Amino acid sequence: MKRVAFALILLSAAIVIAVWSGTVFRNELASLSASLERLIDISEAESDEILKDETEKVVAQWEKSSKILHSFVLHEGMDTVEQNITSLPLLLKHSDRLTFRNKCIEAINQIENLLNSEKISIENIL
Amino acid sequence: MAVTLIRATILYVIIIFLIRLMGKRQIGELQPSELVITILISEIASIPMENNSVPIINSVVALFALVAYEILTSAAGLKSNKLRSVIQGHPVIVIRDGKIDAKALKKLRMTVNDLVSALRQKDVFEISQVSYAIFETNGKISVLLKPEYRNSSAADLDIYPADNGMPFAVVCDGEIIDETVKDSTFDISHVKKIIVSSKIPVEEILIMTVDSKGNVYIERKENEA
Repeated sequence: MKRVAFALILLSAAIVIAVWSGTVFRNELASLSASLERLIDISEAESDEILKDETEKVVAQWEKSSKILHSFVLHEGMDTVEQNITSLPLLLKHSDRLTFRNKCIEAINQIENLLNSEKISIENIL
Repeated sequence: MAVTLIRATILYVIIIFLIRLMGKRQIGELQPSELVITILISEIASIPMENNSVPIINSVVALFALVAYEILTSAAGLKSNKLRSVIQGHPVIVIRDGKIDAKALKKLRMTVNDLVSALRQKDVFEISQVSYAIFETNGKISVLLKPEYRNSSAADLDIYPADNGMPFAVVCDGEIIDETVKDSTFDISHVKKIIVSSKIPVEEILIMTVDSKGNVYIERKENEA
């Protein structure tokens, strides 16, 4: 009976971890994606100073999120997103806004791919 | 490297905990489902250990779920014969009254050679001597010989020797084992008295056993007894 109780605790722990990690993963990536989209909007209308501030905020947001995301997702899966987001301040400094926006779009697409890969769907399960 | 060491330590602790939770079984006595779980545990645990980019939490969730399923299905099997039969299979009689049941062998996808080999491992070389041979769900064979070929017991010879019970190792390597003392018919103060009367300091005792009839055996360390 004690063993069965332990088994139920283990199973509950597994379910809680799976649901919690899935929720955190989705929320963090959705929030990052929204920030990147806002960054694209800002890059189309605002000054260099505002864009620089906002870019730094997005990079800081990524650095905060990546700590928890790395514990849920294969690190290789996160690497490309990380490279794109962390390269944004340099792109802003040394490149034009179009290249900057393209990098943001690339990062958004990769985030979308990551989100899709963790969705509960037949193709992901199989 | 340090990360690998820490990850290996975490996984080691988790696996030991899970294996202990699954209960004691010898490798050769594992039921099919237990064997599968054991192999899966080692496989799943090895992935994050050899690749640091794999999150440890993924493996932990899988390990928790597998062990929980194994315990829950075996617990459910205790309640339901049908479920037990589905999960573990059921024993199959392959020899009845010295005759091989070819159908049963075919069902088990075993050859007569496999059967004869299994019998030999049970020290049975003559099929005609076998009353019943049964393949158990863990893959082992149980053999019941015909009465005339069975080893005679003391009862067969009308001899009833005194039963001294099982000797309990109450001292091992210079240390009194409280749990064994509890299992024996002695209490700890009695065991200590015996040690004092033996005039051997407890730390010098390699092993001391007692049985229910009060027989005591003491061996000193380095065979000095």
